[in-house]
Amino acid sequence: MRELGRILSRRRYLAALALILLLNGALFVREQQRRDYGLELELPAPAVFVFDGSAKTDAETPDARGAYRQYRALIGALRGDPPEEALDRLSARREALAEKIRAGGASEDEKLRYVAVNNVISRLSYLTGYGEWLEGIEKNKEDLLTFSIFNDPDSFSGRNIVKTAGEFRRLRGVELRLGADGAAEAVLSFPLSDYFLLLALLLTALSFLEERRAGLWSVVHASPGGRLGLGLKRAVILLAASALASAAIYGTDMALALYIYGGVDLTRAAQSVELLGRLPVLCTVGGFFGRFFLLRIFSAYFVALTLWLLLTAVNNVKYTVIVSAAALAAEYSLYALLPVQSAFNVLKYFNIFTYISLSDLYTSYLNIDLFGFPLGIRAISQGALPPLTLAAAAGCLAVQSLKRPEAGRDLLGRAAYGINSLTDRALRRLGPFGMELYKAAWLQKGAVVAAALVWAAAGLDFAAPAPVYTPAASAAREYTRELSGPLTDGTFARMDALEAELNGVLAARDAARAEYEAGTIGYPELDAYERRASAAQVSLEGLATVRDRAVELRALGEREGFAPWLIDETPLESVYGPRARANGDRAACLSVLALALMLSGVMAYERQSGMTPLLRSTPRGRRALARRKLLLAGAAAALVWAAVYGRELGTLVSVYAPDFWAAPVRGVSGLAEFPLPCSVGAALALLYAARLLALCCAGTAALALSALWPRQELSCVGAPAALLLPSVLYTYVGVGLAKPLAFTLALELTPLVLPRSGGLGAAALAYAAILSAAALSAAALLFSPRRAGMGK
Amino acid sequence: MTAQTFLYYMAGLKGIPKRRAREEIDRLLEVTNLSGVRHRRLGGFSGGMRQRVLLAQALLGDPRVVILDEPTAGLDPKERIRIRNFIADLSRDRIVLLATHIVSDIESVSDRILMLKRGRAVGLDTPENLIADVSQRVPRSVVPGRFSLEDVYLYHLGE
Repeated sequence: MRELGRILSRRRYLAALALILLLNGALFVREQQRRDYGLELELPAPAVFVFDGSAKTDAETPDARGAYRQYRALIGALRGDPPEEALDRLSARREALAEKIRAGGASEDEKLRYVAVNNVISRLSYLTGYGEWLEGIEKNKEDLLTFSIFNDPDSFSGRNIVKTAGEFRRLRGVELRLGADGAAEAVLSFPLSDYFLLLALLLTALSFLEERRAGLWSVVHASPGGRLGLGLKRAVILLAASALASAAIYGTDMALALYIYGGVDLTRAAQSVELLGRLPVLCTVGGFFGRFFLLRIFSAYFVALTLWLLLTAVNNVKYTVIVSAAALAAEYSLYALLPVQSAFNVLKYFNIFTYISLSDLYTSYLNIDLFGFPLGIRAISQGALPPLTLAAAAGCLAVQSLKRPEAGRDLLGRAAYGINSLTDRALRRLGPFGMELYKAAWLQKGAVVAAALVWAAAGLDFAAPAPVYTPAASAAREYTRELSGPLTDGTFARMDALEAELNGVLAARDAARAEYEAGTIGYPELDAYERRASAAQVSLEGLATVRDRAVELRALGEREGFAPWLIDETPLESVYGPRARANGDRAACLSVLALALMLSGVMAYERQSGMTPLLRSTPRGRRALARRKLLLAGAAAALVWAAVYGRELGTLVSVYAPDFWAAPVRGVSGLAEFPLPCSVGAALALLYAARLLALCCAGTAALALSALWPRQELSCVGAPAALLLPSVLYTYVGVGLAKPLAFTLALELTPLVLPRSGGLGAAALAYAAILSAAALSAAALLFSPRRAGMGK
Repeated sequence: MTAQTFLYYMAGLKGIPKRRAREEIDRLLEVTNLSGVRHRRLGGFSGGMRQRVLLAQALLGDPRVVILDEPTAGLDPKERIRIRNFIADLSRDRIVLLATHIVSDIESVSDRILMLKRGRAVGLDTPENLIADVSQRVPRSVVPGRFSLEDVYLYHLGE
């Protein structure tokens, strides 16, 4: 079919589909790591303090992948065993492992086994409790119907109770079996695939607007085959695209899930998978996925038809995307914001997004009130799908056949003209720099990138765990926090007082022992003294550690001539220490990516529109314009710096008292080698200023790179790739050759503040590289010998 | 951006003060018949409308020398006459270098014509003298009737 050939010959379309598949796969794998492969990884370790602004217990985290392997092996070993017996056996094994872990004598393998056992117990508890849960629904029905507000047979409440009990009654006697359901749960718990599918369908529907964009709509519409015939072909293409995109995207998810988690026993009852516990349909796991996948294809087809209808309903191609986006936004608002039970809940479930996020229909059970009758959301969606699809298809064919290119009033155009007249009043007041800002933010969509940056930065985590592994170390950290401040004789006096208090507890324990020997107190009283003395002993060890540190700091202060402070370095270690390296890498990559995306279109936009010779022919269109663009790069860098590193700094500011910033930098072990004798506040200010400078340099380089490409689309891919790829290759793939160009190294604070970590050389090299790149870029922009007209 | 915003942008690049820019832009939009679409985005302009916007921006700042390359290309006859008249008015107190292949544009506005062939000047004179010169060189039997600038064009620049 020529229409199919036309669509498939568009390289951008194919490249976008390939990118969607790649992103879907990469994010799917990453999501499994993020959710710890569906396992609960908590170990019964002693409490440690994790800095997140408040103390919270957190044990060291075992390797999730290794734990899953053990989990899977254990499930295989338990196959055929009655669940109740297996549960008893495993509970005893779990307790034994927990004891060993608490005592500190467990190996890594035993910790993983504990996690495996704990999670299998959780599954077995679900399986053995399922029958009871079903009985509970029936009992609940009997109990609720005795209340007057529920037992009205004509009310929604009464009918809902009866309906729910009736539907789950079908599952009585269903045999649930234990299995490794990781793959099944992973596929059902990854909603991003739904949105990638939506994107693929949107791209396919957008390809039908090609003739409008090229100004050929009239020609196509005037041809005999350019109306209904073309419409029918496109409807078939959309069906094929829905099937293929669903197969590709969800097939990728399933293949990756099977690779990561291993196979799934498809012959078991669907309810054996905990996520499907609320599905009141008797079917196997295999049967469920078959139905799910079929429904996925047909719902995707309905979504695709709806998108096509939205996009072609508006004549003016400039407004089609805006109108469609507004319609989808309205639908999403109804879907997300309407309460589950409300007068308008039919708008929540007769909604395109119900057909996009299909998993919710199967993993939750819900009846909505439709004129007093309870109607299941799954039944609504499945039942409404065929007529809605037919209606959408009919609408699309009607638009394709009957809508004339030049007919009708351009109401949207008039509305846009009115809005433009208002914005023009504001824009004419802008000076030259203001116009550059407007072009970058609005015309080149820099504002969208900035909004995405703020959203992404809000999800960044800057506080890594700073665990301690012994009770004495934990006590030392508490005492340091309590005694923080300038180290004076008063500090030592307070330590003496605390020590005396703790020694008093030990003395009381000794006295209690004597009384117990004498028979004047019983064992319970002695036990209380022993417990308190044991805790006091640990505290004394912690206090001794703090005292040693204080003495060391005092000696250092006398040697180097500064007034020492005792500081709780946990927050500093959490934000800047070695464990924070991954957070720092992520923040640096996000910063460089956002900056490159904001600026990559600046020069390319002018080249693409043929404006470069025109601008360079004006008095302020050469060096003055280049200077303004460099200033724009600086403003963008400042925005990125504030959004990302402002949050990092805010994480610390929220913890430390205001006077902490005056503490001498050399008294902080992590910053002891800082080259300048200044306060902690001044040192961090200098380091953050250096970061800002590095970002400004990256921005300048992004500007210069954007001048290399003739089109914005190419520049928006090429410039970020050039700036970020070496960093990604070095940081995440381990390609050593990429190190000199890894600009993100220049943004990381760790090697600069912890030179002993061995990274100072790399950071300095990266800094020098980025400064050089910026200098060359600025020179090229300001003093380019290119004449107007070249580079078209 | 819209036509008006574009002109304000170019006025800024040319260093024109805002108040004067406002007056000039209003006048130029009127002359180029774009007042009714000043708030429409340039992406929605036809080829001829874009031509007129470019002409307007070229005239911002009241330049003493104006170089126009095919300024009436893509315009309908009514617009072409309008622009031609505007160029003729402009040329009263400034130098206008008009590059074009549309002979009718030249003969209605030009005081002097320079003909270039492969980068070399093959004629520089008033329209009347150029016509007279060619009429003397070409026999009447070859070109019957009155000579015109088209004949001059064909004589000097034809293959």
